[in-house]
Amino acid sequence: MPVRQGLVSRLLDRLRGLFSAGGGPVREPGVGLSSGLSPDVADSEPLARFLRSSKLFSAQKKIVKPAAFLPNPRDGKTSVFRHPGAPAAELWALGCRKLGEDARIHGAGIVRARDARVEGLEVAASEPPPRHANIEGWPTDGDPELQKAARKEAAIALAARAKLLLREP
Amino acid sequence: MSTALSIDTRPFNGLPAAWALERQSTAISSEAGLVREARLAVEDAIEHSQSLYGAKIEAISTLWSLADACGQANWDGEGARPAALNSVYMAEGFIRVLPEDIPLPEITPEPDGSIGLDWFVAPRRVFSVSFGTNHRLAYAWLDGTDRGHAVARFDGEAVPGRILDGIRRIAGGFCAP
Repeated sequence: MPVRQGLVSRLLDRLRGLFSAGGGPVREPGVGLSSGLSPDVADSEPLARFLRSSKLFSAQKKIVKPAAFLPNPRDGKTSVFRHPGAPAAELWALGCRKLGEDARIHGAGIVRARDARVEGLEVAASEPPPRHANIEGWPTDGDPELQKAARKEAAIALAARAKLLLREP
Repeated sequence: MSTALSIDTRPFNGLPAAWALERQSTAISSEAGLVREARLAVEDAIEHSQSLYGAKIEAISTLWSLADACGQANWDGEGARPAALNSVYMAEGFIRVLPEDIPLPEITPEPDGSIGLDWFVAPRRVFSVSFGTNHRLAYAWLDGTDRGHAVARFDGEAVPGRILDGIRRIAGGFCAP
């Protein structure tokens, strides 16, 4: 049937157009992420790095230690959550939902996406789970120790801008 | 009657009587004064080195407690590697050879299994050294607007000069709590 064939052909053309050149479909803000957030993390967005070890911050000095921001050795990314800026209680609830009720969360280091970007790092949404994102693009070098040193420098700078938010016991 | 000959052998403030006597002595002869000064200098030096030694022992003890606490994979809940034994030994050796004028660092486990020794003076005055599984130490610093990173070789005998200079520049005169 010519009419139906024409419709299928137009539909296929449209799909080809969506997936061509750009390497993927064009996403509208708020579309495509289960959280309903924009896939593009804005510079001003606060990011929460949950602190699940007491060794990674100092409550006395009110600082987040640089090691808290160093990337995971498995994937070279630092996992963060896009903090809605809501009351801290909602942040802890978010952490418990995403990391498990039994996950011990001592607090969070809060930075803005721009803090990572000025260090030459990138912040990319990575859902699921909802609101999850990664700080990625950490420096690489053929010399593992030099690579580590460069990453430490970026982590120190990031930690210097971080605000420590402690979870009330 | 000379009061200088009246010796009270009871302990003074918990210190041996002879020590207390020297501290209280009013002897005026030059020889006695020199002996007294020398004795006090020795006592002070011993006291200082004992205090320093004690602080280092405490730091090393903290290091091993931390290594124990971070000896399992995923100690940070984010997939960290367990603290590597070699890293712990290296960090211990480094603490042992730190010169007396350098404040002791904070000890921090790192997600790749390294041990970090950190000097935090202020959020933007930080010096950090990482101990991995070999003798090459990755280090980085932030000092106001000045910052950088590099690698230095640690022979186990002395703190590499560039690291020592960096720590002195950032943490000189600062004593970690």
